[in-house]
Amino acid sequence: MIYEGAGSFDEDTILVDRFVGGDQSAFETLYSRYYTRVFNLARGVLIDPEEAADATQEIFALVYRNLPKFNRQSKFSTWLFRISVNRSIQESRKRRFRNKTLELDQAAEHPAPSQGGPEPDPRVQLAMEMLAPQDRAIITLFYWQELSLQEIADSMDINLNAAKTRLYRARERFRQHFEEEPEL
Amino acid sequence: MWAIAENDTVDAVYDFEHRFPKYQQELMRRIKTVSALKAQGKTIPSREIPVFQARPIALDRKPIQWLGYAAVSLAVISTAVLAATSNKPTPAVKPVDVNTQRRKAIPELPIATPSVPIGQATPPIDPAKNPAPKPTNQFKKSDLILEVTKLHSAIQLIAASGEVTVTIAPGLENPDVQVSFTQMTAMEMLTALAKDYAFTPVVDGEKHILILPVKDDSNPQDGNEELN
Repeated sequence: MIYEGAGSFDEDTILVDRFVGGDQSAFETLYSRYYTRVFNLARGVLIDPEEAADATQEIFALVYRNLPKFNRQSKFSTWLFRISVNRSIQESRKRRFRNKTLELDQAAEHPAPSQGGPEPDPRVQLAMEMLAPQDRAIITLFYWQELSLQEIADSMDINLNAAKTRLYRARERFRQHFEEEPEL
Repeated sequence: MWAIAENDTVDAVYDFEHRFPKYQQELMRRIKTVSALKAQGKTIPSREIPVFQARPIALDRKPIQWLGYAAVSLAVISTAVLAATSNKPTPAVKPVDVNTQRRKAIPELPIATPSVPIGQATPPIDPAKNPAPKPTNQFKKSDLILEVTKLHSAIQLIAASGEVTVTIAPGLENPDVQVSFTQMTAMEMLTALAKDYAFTPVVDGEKHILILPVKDDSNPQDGNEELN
């Protein structure tokens, strides 16, 4: 199975083998190949881009240390996403009380600096902030990473039905918060 | 309905609305929610990939935090216990030899240290500047009637009435007592009380009495000999 934008299963396995054999450049290839996806996932869970960048570095540091222990029973990308989800949720819980909730007014008055792309919707951001980290993770994987339910189940180490149920509940909770926010 | 909202194909939406017209609004809200969510994912600006540095992984500090909380709690409890015990100075706990204590209790003659070097003339004493020493408080007589109270409290109250301090050595029981003394010194009251409650009051300095949880039957008249 091939993830869009990432290398194939075989290519990843070859790179892992090369890294375990002592080729440092193989890890750099894996890092540059998956950095954006891991960062986007971390950002979906942590919301703050700087915290997400920090968490992404920690995730890859963890992968770097533990890659020799990777048992190859799953795809490298599945293993990587599982680490990313767990670490992001863990970081989100740790930083929950430190995070300053972005008020709707502030979001409207001080929107994120435009980088030429579409503007983020503050209602979506506020609704996401209201969710639990696990809910943010599954929504991010499904809507932003566009993973299938089976891939989500593998990445979260749950079965397919549990993934469906969790996605349904997370989506309903998101909708509830989203519809409570006044339209700008 | 979520599946239709996510696919958002014209045919599927039309078909659904035709079959379930009363859920049309609900479907529209879901389509709006899904499209907002999907659009948000596309607004994440692409970042420049930083150079990877294999840095040490931040440890989960939860156990360290718990250790910190435990240490602080222990320190607070220790401080509280220390503060509580320091209000009542207790003598070093060691086997008490009553006879030794009684010997110590006998006031020793003070060794006269000349305030003026030997060989120099002693200045005349001015009675106005150097009044005669007052009698010690141990001789102060008072009345004390206590209804049912604890022995330790009674001892403290007796000491307070005689304007002396007492130290109760560890090991003295604390039963309920009832006392009634008239025109007696603190030492007399304590000696009288000691007959019934198995302790021995010992003078330990000018204004201090030590209560030892040992009954000395060798001479029941002792204890206040130096006071009376």
